[in-house]
Parts: sequence; structure tokens; C-alpha cells
Amino acid sequence: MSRIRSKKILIAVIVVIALVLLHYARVLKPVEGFILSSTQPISAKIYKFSSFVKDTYSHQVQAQDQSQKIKELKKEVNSLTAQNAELRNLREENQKLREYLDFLKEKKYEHILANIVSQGVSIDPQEKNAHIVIDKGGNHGIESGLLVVNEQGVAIGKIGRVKPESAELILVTNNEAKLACSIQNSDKTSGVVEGRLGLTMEMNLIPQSEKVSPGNMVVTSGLEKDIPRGLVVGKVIEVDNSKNEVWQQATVEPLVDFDNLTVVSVLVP
Amino acid sequence: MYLRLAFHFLLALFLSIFQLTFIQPLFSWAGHFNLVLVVLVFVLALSGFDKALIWALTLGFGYDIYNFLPFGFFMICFLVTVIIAEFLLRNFFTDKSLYSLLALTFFVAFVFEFLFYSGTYVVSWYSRDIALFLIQKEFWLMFFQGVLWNSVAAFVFFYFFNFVSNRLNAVFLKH
Repeated sequence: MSRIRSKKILIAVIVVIALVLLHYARVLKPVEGFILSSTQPISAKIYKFSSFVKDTYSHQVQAQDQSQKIKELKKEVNSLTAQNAELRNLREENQKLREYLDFLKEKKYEHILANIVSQGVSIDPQEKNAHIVIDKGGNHGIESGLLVVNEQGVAIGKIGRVKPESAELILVTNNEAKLACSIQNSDKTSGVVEGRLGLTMEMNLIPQSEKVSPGNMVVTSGLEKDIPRGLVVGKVIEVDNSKNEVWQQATVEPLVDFDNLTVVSVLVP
Repeated sequence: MYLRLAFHFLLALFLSIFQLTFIQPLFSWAGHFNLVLVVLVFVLALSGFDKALIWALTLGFGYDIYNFLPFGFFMICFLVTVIIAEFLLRNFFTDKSLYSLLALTFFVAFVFEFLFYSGTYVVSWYSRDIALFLIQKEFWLMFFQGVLWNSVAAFVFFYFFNFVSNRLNAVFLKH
């Protein structure tokens, strides 16, 4: 059996050697030429088909790659948008802090910077912004009654109740808020400004003899303990000076949009 | 007899052309599939050594006509491969089960690739400074990609021939 196999192998080897010799002797050339010329049309078609399959596959892979790339880019855009929004917030915050620093440096006030951490929810729309909470409290030296200003130094309210780590900010427009102020008119009218419905302020008990007109600025009078003089509170927008009344009443509009407050400064004595 | 011989010759020639013009130009990972080797293994297992020798010589001849390596190179490669395959089939993978044929396909692929790369290395050695293929990562990557494809093809062929003939054994080895 093994002998027969060896014989077959030997025959195969002889065939190979013979074919090689015939090839190099150019005897096989016509046979090779015939095989090549007769199989070339079919090989060309097969190759074309192979190229078509390859192209189709490549296009599909490319399309998949592109769709993957689009997905990745979309993700990146979303991430960059979020990052951009974050940076914009930081820039605004930075701007505000710079303004604070400028104002406080100029006026040489001792102050404590605080972040607003919540705006108490109330079912009464009149009590909008009634319960603003800041992240600094008694442990940081904050006491009830201290004045709170924004980054431009405009008075926005007073400290109400104080906890060790937080404090309540009562806005000047709040019904509970009372602040000793003066109107910057020729008479330097002094009085108490009180909040009204969380929207405006009013100064009552102004003698009829004093001339108050819309547009006059209202500033702190400095008559209250621990509250410096001359800080802007708002602007007179309306004066009620009916002749049959003993006193005049001025409506004061705040200069600050309380909804946009994020950082405030508490002036300490 | 001559008619059958001519039939096998034409079939093997067509297969070599198909391998060279369709499979090899395909995308890189599919181009490493060596259909001719898988067919050669099955011809050996199903039709015996005689037919396998004819197929090996014809495949080699087809390859030699279509390629530009020294004439006879592929005939020698296929001949040596089929002789080793016959030796392995007769002495180690005797039961013609699926696992035997998968293992045989693996060894045959390795032998053929080894012969082919050794040959091309020797042929190209004097003209180009190339690193030995056995220490190249690409060779092994390509080889195992080819092995994977060949095994899949062997698996499919096994079940096909098991369905149409009873010359192959069931999946598990019989004690």
C-alpha cells in the first residue's frame, strides 16, 4: 500500500519536473496561452464581480463609519454646548464677582459674599421671592438686620432670620421689609421705605412741603444701625400728593431684577 | 477515465481561477480564505489520494499560469501539502469526523502558508531586504484569519457532504 502511494508520489513529482522543464523549454507555451486566453474572459467577469462585491462592502463600511462619525460629532456638539453654557455661567459669575470687588474696594466696606441657594416656594404669588436663602449664616458673622447689596452696590434687602450655616434675605420689595432712606431731591427728604407685594416700595409720611418728583433716586439714609449711607435702593416712579392729604406718598421702583440674583454681598459693620 | 480526468482537471482549474480572481481580490480579511485548500482536503478525504494528487497538480498548474513566481513553485507547494495531508489523514485523523477534518484543514493551511511564504522569502531574499515572515505579526494575523474562514468553510462542507454521502463520519469520534 505504502509502496503504491510512494509510486504515485514519484509519478506526481516526475509530472511536476516534466511540466517545469517543458515550461522553460517553451514547449508548454501554446497550452498555457490557450488556457489563459480561454479562461481570461471568465476570469475578467469573476474579477469584475469580486470588485463589485468589494466596492459594495467598502461603501457600506464607509457609510457605517460616516454615520458613526456623525453620531460622535453630535455627541461632541452636545457636550461642547453644555460646556459652553457652563463657561458662560462662569463668565457671568466672574463678571459679577469682579464688579463686587470693584464696588467694595472703592467704598471700603467689610462684606461677606454669599451664594443664593434657594428661593422659597410660595403658593401666594404676592410672596414671590419672599424667602431667599443664602449659604452664609451666623457662623460666618452674619446677623439679622444687615444690609445686602448686589454686585453694583444696589441695596436689595436685609438679613432676616439667621441660622448657623444659612440666612434669610428679605428683599426690599417684600411686605416685611423696612429701610430708612432718603430721596435725592433738593430737600433731602428722609423716611422709611416699605416693600409692597414683592414688586415695588413705598415711602410714606412725606410732608406736603417737600418737593418729590418721579425720577428722583432713593438711597439709604444711614439712620439705621449698621447700614451705611448713600447706597442706592431704587427710583421714584410715582408721587401721590393729593391736596386734601397731610402727607405725600412716593412709589419707588427697585433697580434690580431679583430673579437674576445668584451672588450677593452682606455688608458687615 | 480520460473524460473524468478532464472533468477534474477543468473543475480544479476553474477553482484555482475562482480563488485567484474572486476570493483573493476581496477585502483583506476575506481574501485570506483559502477555498482551494479546503476543497483539496475534502477531495482527499472523500475521493482518495489519487484524485487529490490530480487536484493538487492542477491547482498548482493554474496558480503557476496566473502568477509570476517561478513556474512550478505552486505545483510543488500543493504537491507537498497534499502529501503531508495524506500522511496526517492516514496516521492521525483517521476517522474523518468533523473535528478531524477541521484539524486537518488547520494543519494543511499552515503547511501551505509555510511553504508559500518560505518559497517567496527565498525567491525575494536576494532582491529585497525582508524580515522572516514567522516573526512578523501580520503573518500570524493573516494566517489565523485564513484559518477561521477555512474552518467555517470546512464546517459547511462537512455537513453538506455528510448530507449527500456517507463517506464522512458523525461529529463525535467513535471508540
